[in-house]
Amino acid sequence: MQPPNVGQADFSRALREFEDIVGHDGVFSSDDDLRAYNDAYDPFSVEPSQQLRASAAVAPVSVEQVQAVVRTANKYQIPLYTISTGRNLGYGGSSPNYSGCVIIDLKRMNRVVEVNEQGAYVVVEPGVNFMELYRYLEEHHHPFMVATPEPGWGSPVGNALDHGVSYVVGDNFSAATGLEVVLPSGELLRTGMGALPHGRLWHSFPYGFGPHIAGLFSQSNFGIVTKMGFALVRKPEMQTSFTVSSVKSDDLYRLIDIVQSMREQGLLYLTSVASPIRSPMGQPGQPVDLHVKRAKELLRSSNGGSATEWDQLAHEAGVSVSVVTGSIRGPDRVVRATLEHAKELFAAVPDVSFEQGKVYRFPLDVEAIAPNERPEFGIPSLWGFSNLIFGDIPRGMYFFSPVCRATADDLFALKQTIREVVLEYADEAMQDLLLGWIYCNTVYPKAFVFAYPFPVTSDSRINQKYRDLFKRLVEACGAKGWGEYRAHVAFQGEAMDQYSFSNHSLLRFCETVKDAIDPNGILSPGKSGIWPHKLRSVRQ
Amino acid sequence: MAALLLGLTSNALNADELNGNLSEGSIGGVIEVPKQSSPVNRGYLVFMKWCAGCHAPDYAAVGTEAAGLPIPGRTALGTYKLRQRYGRTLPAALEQRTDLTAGLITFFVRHGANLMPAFRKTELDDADLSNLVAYLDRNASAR
Repeated sequence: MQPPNVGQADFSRALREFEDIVGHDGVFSSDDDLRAYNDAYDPFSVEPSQQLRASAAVAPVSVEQVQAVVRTANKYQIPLYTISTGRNLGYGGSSPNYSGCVIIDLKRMNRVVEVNEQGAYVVVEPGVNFMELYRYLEEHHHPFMVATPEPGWGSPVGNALDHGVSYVVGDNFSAATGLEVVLPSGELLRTGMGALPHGRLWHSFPYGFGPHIAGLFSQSNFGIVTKMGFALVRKPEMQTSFTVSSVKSDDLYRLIDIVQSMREQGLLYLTSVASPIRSPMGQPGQPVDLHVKRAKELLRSSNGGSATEWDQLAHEAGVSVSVVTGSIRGPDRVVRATLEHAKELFAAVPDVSFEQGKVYRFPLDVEAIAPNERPEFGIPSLWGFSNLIFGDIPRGMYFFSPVCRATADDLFALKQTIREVVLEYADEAMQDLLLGWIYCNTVYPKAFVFAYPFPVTSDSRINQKYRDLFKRLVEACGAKGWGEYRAHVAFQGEAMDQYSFSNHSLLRFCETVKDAIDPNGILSPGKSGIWPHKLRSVRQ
Repeated sequence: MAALLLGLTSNALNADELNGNLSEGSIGGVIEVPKQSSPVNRGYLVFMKWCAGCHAPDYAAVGTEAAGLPIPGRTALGTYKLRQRYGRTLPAALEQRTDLTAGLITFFVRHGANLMPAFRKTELDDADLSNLVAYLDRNASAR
């Protein structure tokens, strides 16, 4: 494969120039080597004509090499697509948005540049993954947790730039401090105080002077982030959680209000909401009980079942209807006082049970923590893939990822909108998947984020039906204000299309910026639905 | 604490794995680096970093309630799937296999299979792969 609209001779010259920059072993153009850049969970895995493919990959080891690669790409008008560790599975992995891109693979830029204990921040290059950062912090006895998502092979930089989440910080981009960015021209920019000749405050003060532009480089194609700082969380004395359960559906309103008010006051660092009786798939590994059939019937009814019906079923099944959790960490006395405070608050709701979780003291006995739970303590792992043990998804999945307000009203309303689309358009398997309640994690303080998996099957007709369903859900939810917070590279245009206020002024602004700073349209065309001028017809 | 008060800053580059004390473990945590730098030992580090999170033996730490955990807490994804496929005819954990050839290992690392993605050379280069083969093939004399 070649980049579109680039002649064979020019492409060959560009590859030679890339080799001059990064060395022979840093340029990959054989079919064998490029296979590993395909999306491992490709939604089009059995539809070759629609697959997104790279034409080559280049792996720089320094910012100077990134700048030189970008300048060469400009010279030959070659589109690039940037990956940091390329492990964003379910959202595209190492695949570009636009076939023919040369992947700029930053995995070899893997330095932990600085750990500042007093300032509690770290500066990393994009190729560092969470596991590598954890090892570095442990090896150097730095007293910090790693804000890892479930799979620990991702990049703190790439994860945060895609608005990824963790159990430790929640919203990982909110922990970002300063950025260093290679612009589409090849120039180097540092954000905030990093723009001063001596950037002593680069990672200590967020703004500098003038526009705060760090966000322009998240989920965008305006530059290649080559360094990024993050505020770190110190290991606490103690970490624990509580679970509050009720057998009444309507209690969910008050439980969410209480747990979110604690979150808003900074007493809890994470919260979650669940409805076990509405999760008839059950927890993995648990036996299916006799009430599953009835629960599925209720979920498939037009209104999703009344509170009375759920309360009755929950009573018969001995399963909770309304559950919230809160996570606490800090000094021993503070954690204990917070738990007591929580107990008092929830005691105002009659007949709920308050269960305190296991108390973990630092330094942790890591071996005593089940591997799939270690990310909750800032210990990156790949064991979380074991949660896919019971799923029938041999070809992977992509995610439908809407966001709603962290209130019971908004949660029920979102679920109802999803239900209406699903009942009309989904087959039985997808109905089960989409109507059952999956956990709502308030990694964002005021919002629930979801990640509904859409399986990729071996049948192209089924895959097309699922993609149609996905688009209908994105549109139906988008129309009511529940936008996607991230999307697979193949569906980012659909996600962006929903953000249509004032005749899509957000997208038009992004396109204006794109054309101004990247006139050749070389950086990640199509990322987040932002296409450069010369390729805008592709979007249409 | 002194380091904390002084605002200790680490500017050192990441050390080569066998020059450091610790290496990454994809089960969650770190592992100690073997003192001797043999291909098998280097391959062990590659396995622990990239493979163990999905292919380790079942979790059974002493002093925990491991046996009472839900299956995903006890069994890694790859180990579970291989147990389903092979039953008792072959060990489910890759490190216990004696039949893994260089060709087979290379194929799966570079192609992936089912939910396992392929690994790029920027993550796991040919030298790493060769060491991984040495580690997983170390029991082959038993074949």
